[in-house]
Amino acid sequence: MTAFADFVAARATSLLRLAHLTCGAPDEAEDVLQSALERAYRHWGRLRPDADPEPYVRRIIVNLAISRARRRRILRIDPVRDVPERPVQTPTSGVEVRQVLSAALRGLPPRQRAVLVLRFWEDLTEAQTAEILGVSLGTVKSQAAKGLAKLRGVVELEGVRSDA
Amino acid sequence: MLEQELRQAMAEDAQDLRPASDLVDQVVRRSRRRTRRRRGVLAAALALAVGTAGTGWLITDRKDPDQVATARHVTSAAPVAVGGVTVGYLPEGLGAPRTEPAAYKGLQGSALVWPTLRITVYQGLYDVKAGTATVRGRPVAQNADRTELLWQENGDTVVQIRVAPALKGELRRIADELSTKPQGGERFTELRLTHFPPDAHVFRKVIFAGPQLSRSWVGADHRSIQISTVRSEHMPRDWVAGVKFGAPFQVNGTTVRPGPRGHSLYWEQPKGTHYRLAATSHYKKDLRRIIEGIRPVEDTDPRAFGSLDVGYLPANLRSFGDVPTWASDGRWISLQLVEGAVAKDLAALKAGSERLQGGRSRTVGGRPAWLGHDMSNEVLLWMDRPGYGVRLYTRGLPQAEIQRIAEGVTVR
Repeated sequence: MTAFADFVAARATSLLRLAHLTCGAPDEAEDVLQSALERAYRHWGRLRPDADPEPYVRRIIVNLAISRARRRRILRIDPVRDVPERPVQTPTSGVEVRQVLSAALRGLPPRQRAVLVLRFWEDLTEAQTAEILGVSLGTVKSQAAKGLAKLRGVVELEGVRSDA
Repeated sequence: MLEQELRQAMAEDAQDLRPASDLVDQVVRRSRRRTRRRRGVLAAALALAVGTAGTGWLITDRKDPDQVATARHVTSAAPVAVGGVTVGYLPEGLGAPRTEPAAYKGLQGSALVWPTLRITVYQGLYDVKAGTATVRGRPVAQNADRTELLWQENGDTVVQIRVAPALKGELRRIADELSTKPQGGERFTELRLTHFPPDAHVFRKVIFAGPQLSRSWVGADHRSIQISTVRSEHMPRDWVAGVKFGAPFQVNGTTVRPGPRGHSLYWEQPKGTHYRLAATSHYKKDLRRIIEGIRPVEDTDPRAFGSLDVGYLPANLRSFGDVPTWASDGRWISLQLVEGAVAKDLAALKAGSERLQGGRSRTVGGRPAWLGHDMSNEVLLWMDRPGYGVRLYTRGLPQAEIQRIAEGVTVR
C-alpha cells in the first residue's frame, strides 16, 4: 500500500494528463485514471520489486481510453474545461492554431489520437508506441501520418498558419 | 512546424489538470467495492434482472425517477422555472415540484424534482457531441433507454431531463418547450454582445492579451468567434497588412468595414479604439447580426466577482467585465480565487500553481504569501484562510503596485 501510495503521489499528475489527452475530457480522464490505478492496485503485489510500474499503468490508461471512446461513439459528452484567464505572449495566430489543434485532436478517432499523444506528448518512439498499443510498427506510422494530415487539414481549413 | 504546435497545444490543454488529493483512497475504496461486488454475484444478477443496471450519464444523486409510480399525461398550463430556464410544458398530475441544489463535478446548479421527472439546470459548459438528434437546434445526448436528455442550452447553461419510463413519450415535448430567459449578453471590454448565433451554445471563453486584447468563444467542430480591440491612432498594421476591405456600411451610426471573404468586420468607436470581429466559416454569416447587437456596457469598472472584491486597481486599465481580468498597454492583471483542498495551506496553493518558478515568501495583509513567476507573469499567491487562497497574475507592473492590488482584495 505504501509503495502504491508513493507511486500515485509522485506520478498522478502526469498520468492524469495522459488520460486527459487520450480521452479528450477531464471528467472522463479522472475516471479512466481511477480505473487504471485500481487495476494496477489489484495486481501490485505481482509486480517485480525492481520493476518500474509506470509503463504498465500508462498502457492500461491508453487502452482504457481507447476502448471507452469506441464504446461511446454514438453518444459522446466531452466536458469543456474552463481556460484560466492568463495572458499569452505568443502571437494571436499561434494561439489560434493551438486552439484549433486541441479541438481537432479531440475529434480524431481514439487510436489515432492515442498515437499522436504517445508520439508527441510522451515523446515515445514508434516502436514504444506500438508496444503500448499492441499494434504493429506500420500501424503506428500510418495512424500518425493520417492523424497529422487531418490536423493539418483542419488548420488550413480554418485559415490559420501553423508556422506562426 | 505542426508537430511543435501540437506539443504546445497538448501542454496548454493539460497544464491545469490536478488529480484529486484523495486519489489513493478513492482507488482503494473502488477496488474494495469491486471485490465485494464480485463476491455478491447473486445480488448483481438480481439487480440486472430487475433492470437497475442501465444508468445514464451525469447522474446527480441517488433519487431515481424510474423507481417511482407513473403519472398521467395531460398538458399542464402552469409553467415553472429553474436556473433561468422556464418549463413550458409538463404532463398533468405531477403535483408540486421541490427545488434542490445539484452538483456534478465542476458544475453547480439546481433541480426541479417530481416523483417521475427531474429537470436539472447547471451553470457551466459541456461540449455535447451527440448523434443527429437535436433539441431546438442544439445537439442532444440521449441515454440508451430514452429516459434522459442532456444538452448545452446556451453559453453557460446545461440542461438535463430525466423521466420515469412511463413518461418516455413526454420527454421530447418537455425538452422542446423549455425556454431560456434572455441573457445579458457576452461582455468584452466596453461592449456587450447581445446577439450570438442560435446554435452557438457551446463556447469556451479564452482571453488573450498580446499586442491587443482578444476574447474568443471556441465551440464544437473548431468553430469560433473572436473579438479584438486595440487603442491606437491607426488600425494595427497586422490587421490591415494585405487585407482588401469590402464596401463599408453603417451600423448604429458607426462605419464598419468588412474584411476579405466576409470572415471579419472592423470598426473604430470611439476614435482611437479599434475593434475587429472575426469568425470561422460556420459563423461568418452571423457577423452582421452580432455587430448589430453590440451595446455599450453600463458598468465599465466592476469590482465584485463572485466571492472576490477588488479594492484597488491601477489607472487606465480595460476590464473584461465578467471575469476579474484587466489589461492595457502591456499591463495585465488577473485574479483567481482557489477553494478547497488545493488551498488548504500555502504549500498546497504553491504546488497547484502551474509552472511556478523561483520566488520568495511575502505577506499580504499579514497573511502568508509567495511571490514567484511563471513563463509569462509575476504570480503572487496568498492564503485568505484555510480552504481559500488567491492567485494574482500580473505583467508589466512594479512590485509595489502588485502588493497594493493584493492588499485591496477581499474574499467574502
